[in-house]
Amino acid sequence: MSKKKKAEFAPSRSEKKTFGQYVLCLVLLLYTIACALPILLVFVAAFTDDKWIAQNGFSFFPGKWSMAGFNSVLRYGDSLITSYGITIFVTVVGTLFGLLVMSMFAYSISRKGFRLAGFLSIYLLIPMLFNGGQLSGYIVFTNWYHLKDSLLLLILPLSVTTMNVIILRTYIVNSIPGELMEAAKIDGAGEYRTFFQIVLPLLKPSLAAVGFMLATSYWNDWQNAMLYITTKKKYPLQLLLVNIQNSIQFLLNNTNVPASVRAAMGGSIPEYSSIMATVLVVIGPIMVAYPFFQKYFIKGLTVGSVKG
Amino acid sequence: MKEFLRNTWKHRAHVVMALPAFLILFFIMYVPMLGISLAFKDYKTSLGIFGSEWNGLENFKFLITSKRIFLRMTSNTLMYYGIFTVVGTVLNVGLAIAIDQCVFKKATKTMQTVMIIPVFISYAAVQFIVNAFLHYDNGIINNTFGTDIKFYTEAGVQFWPLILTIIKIWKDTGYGAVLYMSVLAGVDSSLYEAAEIDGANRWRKIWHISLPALIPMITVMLLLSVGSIMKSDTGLFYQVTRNVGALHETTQVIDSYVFHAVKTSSNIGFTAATSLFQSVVGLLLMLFANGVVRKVHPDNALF
Amino acid sequence: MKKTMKKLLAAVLVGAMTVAMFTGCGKAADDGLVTINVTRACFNLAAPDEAQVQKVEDAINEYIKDKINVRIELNDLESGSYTEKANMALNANEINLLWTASWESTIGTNDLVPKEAVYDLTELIKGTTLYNSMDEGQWEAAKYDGKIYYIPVYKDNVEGYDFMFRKALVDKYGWDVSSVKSLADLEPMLADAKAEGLKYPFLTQRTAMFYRWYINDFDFFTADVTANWVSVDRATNSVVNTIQTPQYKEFATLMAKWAEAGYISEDDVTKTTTDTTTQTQDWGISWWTDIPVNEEANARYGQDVVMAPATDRWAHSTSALGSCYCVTANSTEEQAKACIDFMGLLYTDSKLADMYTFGIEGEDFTYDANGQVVQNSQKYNHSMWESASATIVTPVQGEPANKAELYKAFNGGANTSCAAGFRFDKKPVEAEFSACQAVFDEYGFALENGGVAVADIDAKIAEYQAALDEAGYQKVLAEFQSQYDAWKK
Repeated sequence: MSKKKKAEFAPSRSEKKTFGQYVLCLVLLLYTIACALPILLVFVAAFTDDKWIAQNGFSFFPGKWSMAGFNSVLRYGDSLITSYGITIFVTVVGTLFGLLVMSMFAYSISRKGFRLAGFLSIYLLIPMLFNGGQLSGYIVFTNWYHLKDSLLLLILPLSVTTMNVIILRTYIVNSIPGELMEAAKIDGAGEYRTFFQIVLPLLKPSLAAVGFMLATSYWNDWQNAMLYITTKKKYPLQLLLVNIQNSIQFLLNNTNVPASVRAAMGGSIPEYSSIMATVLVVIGPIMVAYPFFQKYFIKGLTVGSVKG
Repeated sequence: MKEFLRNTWKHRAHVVMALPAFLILFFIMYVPMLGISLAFKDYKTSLGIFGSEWNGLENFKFLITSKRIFLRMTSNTLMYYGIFTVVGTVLNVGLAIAIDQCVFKKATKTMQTVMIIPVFISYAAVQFIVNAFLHYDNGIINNTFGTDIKFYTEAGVQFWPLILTIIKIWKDTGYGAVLYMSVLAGVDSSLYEAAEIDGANRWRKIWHISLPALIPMITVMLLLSVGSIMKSDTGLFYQVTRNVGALHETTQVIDSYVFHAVKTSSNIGFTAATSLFQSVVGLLLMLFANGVVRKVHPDNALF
Repeated sequence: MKKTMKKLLAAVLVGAMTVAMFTGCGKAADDGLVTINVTRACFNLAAPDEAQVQKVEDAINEYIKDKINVRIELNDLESGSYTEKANMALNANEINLLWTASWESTIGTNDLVPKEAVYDLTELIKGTTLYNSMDEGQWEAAKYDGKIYYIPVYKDNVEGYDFMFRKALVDKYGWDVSSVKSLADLEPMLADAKAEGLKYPFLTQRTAMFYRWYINDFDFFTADVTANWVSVDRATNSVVNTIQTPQYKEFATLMAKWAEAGYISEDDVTKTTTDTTTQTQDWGISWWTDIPVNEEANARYGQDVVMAPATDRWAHSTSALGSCYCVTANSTEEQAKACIDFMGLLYTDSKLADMYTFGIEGEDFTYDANGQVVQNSQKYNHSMWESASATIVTPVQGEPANKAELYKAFNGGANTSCAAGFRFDKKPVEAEFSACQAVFDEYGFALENGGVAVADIDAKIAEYQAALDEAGYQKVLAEFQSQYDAWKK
């Protein structure tokens, strides 16, 4: 079914490194640098002395370095490790589960001749537009379903989204030829076999893209956790960081907090550098994990070809 | 009816495959939709959602009490929607095509990894970076160009649509291009080979092969975004602008107004009414847009 | 075929039954004790350790079970998400005793009453230990519409403001701080600070200070800066449009003048300054909320500072509720009584108060040689102001031993506002009120922080007023006036 193509570059792109190619690469490089500058600033700021920032603003070449910002985050070392674990678990399980469930749904509504497909499409679109609000969600999930403090509430709400299902459906309709599925039927394959053995492999680029977007939303999510998770050990990474940030900001900006509390914090509380440090903590694993997704949708890096 | 049941039976495998997602949507999304009734109710904690009394359209008055503010925030919301959608789509598609076309694969791989990082940086952190650039005294922009513009005051009001657009582009383009790259990855390479043989140059290949492959996805994404036309990202409009009142002229959108009002007013009915307003407008426009697409290219319509 | 259908139906039925089973599971009744859920916020730690909170809860329950017939479930939430979490829990009827404050958003004292989320304690509290632990004046000041909903935490329950000077500058220039009676008197000192090259000669700490500097003239009974456009003029004891008063123009003009002279930095207008700024040496003069022990400021800012009173001290409607408790409306009468009993014990029993505030002795805190508290816990850490009365909680090491007396003297030396006890019901004009608050953000904030040029002040105030009117201000003002006149009788 899928032959492995040997060449590292797709054969249609000859190895011609024309002038145009260099220009293109340069343009991309410039854009990359523009993207990277603020990130670099974050990096530098995480290690800059906070008082220096208060006086001189952010800079690529600060006058004073300090580990205070980083330390105020690392103080929570143990919690950080547990949080990483939770976040990774939720992201992996949620992404795989969501991809499976959504691709099945997308496949079924893409079948022409399936009368219910129209109804299911509309059924899918309505939740994207209409939302019951945070309060009713809270009451339903905690009082009716008794799911408070359950990891299910971190996984399920994000697992099925209208946009992702539509993307998968669009891909199935436009990029997977109907003839292949017809051929399979003629060969005697049932619906399930057709889906799992023919459609899914061809769906790889879209699954990679949707999987990446799904993983991103899991990785970034903290609102669900803030409302529903009470056990500290189950706090995902972003929530822990938001808590650290908020408590620092609260201490610094709320005038009702008595002086003795601040004194108890032992010296100055680094606001800016700690926020930058939390950003670094978040994006670290991304830079490591992303290349895994990447190879599925950059043509020429594809492991195993898409078309037979 | 019988016809319908028979059809459903014939597709029973498909029904089973659709079932898990169906159930999840039902329990997680549909059941809580009962909360929409709060838009028409005078919510009292002691009575709960179901016990509170109806009060008709009272809650909607919250949005339109000050006509000036309502018109301004609605027009800003629409303006930013227009700018972000057009610029965003063009750049996302353009970047996807550029990466697809570039032969320096290893370099592209690294560059693209860098490009998606901004999406993981929360707006809470972004606001400080933006301030670093825009500060009137020691900000990077003022230092580089030797100017003295006070961006965060009335003097800087007209710059903000541009500033916010740039920030949005920086944050989302790398990430948004991924979707279109996946579509291009699914294009049969033999098509390009055939075009090459026919003597087509790069631009013609893009125009005749890459773009048509992308059209369905672009259409679908645009249609989906119309549904959220009245919604905005509070992180961008509230946190990055620090809710500085002088800038409201060009930066106040419906969501940032509600977000701030809820902090001081805490009336659940207001939030629910605004949400319903946004949903209904989105729905109507989406139906309209979908109808248009259906006439032009039925396959690409949402339903 | 038939089998698959059967399987499907069976699955759906099982699912439905499971869901039905889950709804409506309740708690088994206990050994005769009334259980109440106590929810409070933790400001001193980013995240309290729930194992330790559980220990404290057990210790408290062990201690109180013989004294009062109550068991508590202690819910200690981090301040960063307190508002959202407590709001949700409140609406899901999970809480019985809730800590809140007049300055909290969403679940503040002004928010809970109109939402009918609090229990009327007026009858239940008569003659109880709790009621007798504080003097009548405190209870009077906490009333809403003549009813008691909130149990104030006795601390600095009056409001007054000071000018704060950096001691280093006072010494260097020999400023005579005792001669400062009004804002204008600060100008020569600000000039010195500017000459020194300081970035923030006058630091507003990005607060619109009109509703604080002028409390000798007005009672801003809403204590909400975004609603400072309406207040009671003490001279005439009537509600006035604050924006149109001569004092407002005088203040705005002064701020504008100072901004142009470089005394007020643009960072205050753009909300860039924070407490980190006050810890630096970049500022000259700022403001401070008057408290019994002003020396705490030195610890807070990491440098010596000197205070001079800017206003008198006033007791008004919201000053007593800077920190308070309430019983939620979903509680039964039995639970409400239990809450009152618990609070009564908390306000009179020193051991319980210390346990509730500081945690487990030996683990979270210790007593030093003077009997004062030394706190070092990263797991359970609270302060008096959000726990229990200043009169019962043991002072922390470094605080004056006679702290309780200091507080009494502090509160005692205050003036009582003519509008103390008045609560505005904004229900009739809620939408307009909200819109006017938004207008404040647009104009008021800049006007009061030097964001407007001196030449433009009159025009700006006129514009501000026009925008307010367009948002329905006159209606709000009329409503205020009629409610206040009715209350005055």
